[in-house]
Amino acid sequence: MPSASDQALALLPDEHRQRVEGAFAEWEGAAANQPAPHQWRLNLEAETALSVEDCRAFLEYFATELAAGRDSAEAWKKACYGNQLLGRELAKAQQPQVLGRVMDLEHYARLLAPRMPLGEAMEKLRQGLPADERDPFRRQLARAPLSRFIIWACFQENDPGTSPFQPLPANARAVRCALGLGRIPETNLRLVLLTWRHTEPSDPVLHRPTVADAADNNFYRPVGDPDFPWGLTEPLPPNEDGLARQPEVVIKKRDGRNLISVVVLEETA
Amino acid sequence: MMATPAETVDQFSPDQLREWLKQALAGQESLPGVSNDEFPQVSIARLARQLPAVTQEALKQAHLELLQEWAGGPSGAEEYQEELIALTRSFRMPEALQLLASTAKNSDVSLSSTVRQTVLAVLADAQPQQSTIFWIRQFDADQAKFGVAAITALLKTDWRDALDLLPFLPNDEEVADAAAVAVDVNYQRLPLAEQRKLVRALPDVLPRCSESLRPSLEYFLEKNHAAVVRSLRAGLEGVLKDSADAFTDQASLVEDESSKAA
Repeated sequence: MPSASDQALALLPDEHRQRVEGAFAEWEGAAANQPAPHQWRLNLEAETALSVEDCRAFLEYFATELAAGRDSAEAWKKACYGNQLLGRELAKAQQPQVLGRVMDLEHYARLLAPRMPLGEAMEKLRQGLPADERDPFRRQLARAPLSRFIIWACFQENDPGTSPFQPLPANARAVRCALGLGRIPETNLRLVLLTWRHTEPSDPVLHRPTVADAADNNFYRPVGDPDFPWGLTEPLPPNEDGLARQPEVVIKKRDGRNLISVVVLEETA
Repeated sequence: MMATPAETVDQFSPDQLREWLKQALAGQESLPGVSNDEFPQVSIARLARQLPAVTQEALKQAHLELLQEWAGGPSGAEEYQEELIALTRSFRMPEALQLLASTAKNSDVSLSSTVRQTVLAVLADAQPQQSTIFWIRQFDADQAKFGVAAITALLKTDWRDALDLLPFLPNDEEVADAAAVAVDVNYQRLPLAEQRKLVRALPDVLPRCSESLRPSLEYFLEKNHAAVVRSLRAGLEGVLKDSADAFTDQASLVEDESSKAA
């Protein structure tokens, strides 16, 4: 059976289909030097979390951006940003109670204290989540968004009430490997690991990730089973510790209420 | 053999590098990040660390040129300006910091308050610090927007100046929390004797502070007063123990002498 993207491509008007196929051919030709765009295309072909109709809308968007004269990589990103959070929602019974995400330390400090000096926020982050509710840094953490856009979050399938980072070795390289953060080098890592409770009725809906959520991240890999409830990370080779694929979901932007832990892992060259 | 983003950038001519940086700061380049939402400045700074020293210097030079162009007449999307200014924090070029400081001082240059906030945040994080008068002027211009940067910077030079400004912060929870965190972190960096002085001086300022700030400073005092008392006690116990040890040594010596004499 043809993939959803092949079926969707066949539904496009000829002019749009040719533009899309032209961009894909260009990416394939340049794959030896620039592998990322070709990998996006391969991911789209392997994607099972998008319906044919959603795939068609995505490709239509991509074609329209190309027709407007946009560079193909930029057009791809635009199409992705316009079609996020379309993967299937997780059923209530399957929802984990604790989610986690990883980001760069300085990036999070900027989210915490926008347009303010960062040295203080970074130092406080290294000290972890303050235990006392009266600590003003705790309020800053609760108020700040956990992301600028959508959030990629991971969880533990077998123990969904505990931190997804707990089974991983407590070092930045292992976290990079397990979560498939292959776009950043394994030296000079400055990661902050956040975990929060996801138990309130007002908490955002969890979605299975799709190629559109991944945007220009060429280390995303779709899960082959269309009925699988969530996504899975692809640990980076050589994966010497034999780290397992981690369940992952995407959610819309939210704040830091109900944070459980803040851990900074730093690794210099 | 595929090229990494750093290898691609390494092949650029100075003009291409400058153009690439401009696009990247504007969010128009695919930058490798820990997450898709990463601020361009953070991704660029990480990528710069992977470059050979010569290219790293060329990238810093390209950044300085873009900053000079901006200082000549700030324009463009605010997001671009913010990323451009924030990159100064990562590159730490004295000329770039100097340029930010002179732009902030120059009343002929019109900066939006968002962009000015970003400039001051970078200057407050940098060494060497601007003068006390520079920070007091920024504070007076807008306590709500520039007050935390001014207080943070002054805490690094003379905490007394910073404490004097605390009562003039507006009654705003976000501003108050950021100021209280700055007091807390910079207090931890002080020598013990100065910590004690700060803890003693703060109660005089406290009644004049806003309702948003007071509880955070009271919490700070509660936490650190106990710590100061503990450290004083530990110091005192150390002195007492040393005296007691010296006394015991003396006593043993006397005992030994007495035994020998007997």
